[in-house]
Amino acid sequence: MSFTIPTAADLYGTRSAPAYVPSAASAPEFARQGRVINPGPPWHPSSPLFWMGALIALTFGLIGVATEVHVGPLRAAGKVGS
Amino acid sequence: MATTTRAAQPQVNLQGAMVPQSAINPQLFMALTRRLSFQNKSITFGGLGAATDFVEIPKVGILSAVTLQFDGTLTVTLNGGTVATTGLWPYDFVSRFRFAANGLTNLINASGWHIKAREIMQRGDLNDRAITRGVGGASPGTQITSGSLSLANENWGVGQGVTAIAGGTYAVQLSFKLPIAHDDVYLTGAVLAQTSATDLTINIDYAPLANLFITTGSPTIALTGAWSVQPTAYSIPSGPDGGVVLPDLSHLHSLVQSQTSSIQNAENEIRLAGQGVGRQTMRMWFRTINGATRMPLAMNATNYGNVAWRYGSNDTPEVYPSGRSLAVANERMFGNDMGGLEGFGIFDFVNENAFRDTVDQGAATELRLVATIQSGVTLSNPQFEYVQELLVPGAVSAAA
Repeated sequence: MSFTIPTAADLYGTRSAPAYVPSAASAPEFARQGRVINPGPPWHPSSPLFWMGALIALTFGLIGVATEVHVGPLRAAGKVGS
Repeated sequence: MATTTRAAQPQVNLQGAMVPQSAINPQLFMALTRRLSFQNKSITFGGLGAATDFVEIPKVGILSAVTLQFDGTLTVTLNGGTVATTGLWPYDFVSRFRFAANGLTNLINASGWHIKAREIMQRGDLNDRAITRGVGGASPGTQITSGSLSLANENWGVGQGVTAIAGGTYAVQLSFKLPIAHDDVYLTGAVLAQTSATDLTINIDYAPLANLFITTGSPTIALTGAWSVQPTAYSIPSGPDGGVVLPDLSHLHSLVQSQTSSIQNAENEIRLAGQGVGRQTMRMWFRTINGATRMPLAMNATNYGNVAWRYGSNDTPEVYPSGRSLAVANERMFGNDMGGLEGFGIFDFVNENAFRDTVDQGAATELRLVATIQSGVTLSNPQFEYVQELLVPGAVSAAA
């Protein structure tokens, strides 16, 4: 004869189950479901860190970008950084 | 050499401790566990109105109950004066038992009389019939044989609410069972004690002498004694894979007493403190302490008119036309007179069919108790005491 031990929900009609907390091992599952965005390495343009670094470098003159455009007699030039 | 890596197990938060989800197996736990009942270190009673006594419970197994037995001596020296007891004697000499687990304070927070009443409600087969006690009148008091909520193996020393107590020495032996788990059968609400993440403590607060005794002249009254502490726990067995096996500990048991003095000779609607979504009401009960003698108002038609519980805007699922009607229903439910003497009025949702009757506070909001005090009752310093007995999700603190 088998006898099943009832849970609190079976006995008392409680609705809440034990709180499920994902362990480190199950974290990639969440990433695949899009709940965590993987930004990639910091040297890749998809990373916010890449753009923050570029902005800092421009601010302090560590790098510079210059360009010049000619259209007929018109000429426009721009420069950021040193 | 080839090595194998054991996959990490999903973890669950069980009452603040992280355990493998696979460890929760009530069926296997019940088959393999062993009941443990052991003696804790006894403590000396600190004295009435004195600082709180403090009990630390060993971190062993799954804790389901703690039995506290008081063995003491009451010494009355009249010095030409008189001594009488109030209605709070004897069990409310403990004004509060307070149990805390893993930082969740006030899981249990109730006085001695309420702890005694709850034990009778829960067990069903426990009653006080044919146990003689003195209640009211001149000491040793009018002898009653029903409704005292006491055990034959207890000794009140002197009666409840009795006058003209003779000088002398009286043995006082009282026993309280703190219900850590809501039910001792399936251990619903039990506490995972065997973890370093847990601290299990019981604080025992005492009533001042003036709450228990009424004196004239300058008699001296001394209550001395000691507590023996007997926890009941269940061993944590090992499963077939070598890991631990645990029962369903998804909920904690909350038993919290509150009170208000704002009652009058009319219908009183008292909103219950500490309500919240996820909490399941097992029982709620009340009584009114009144007058200088601090005797409870008997649950009868003379003292109470309509008694009910209510929720939402005005939903009143259960209403009894008088205190007597509720007292009769309670006696029928519990096999014991809960209200005739000690004044308890109880709305119980567990004893018949808990799955059907318990109240989900997420669906029944704004819970209130309704108690109509009859116009003929002289209210003097009344204290309306009420208790909620709940199951609360394990990671949530108890009612306020």
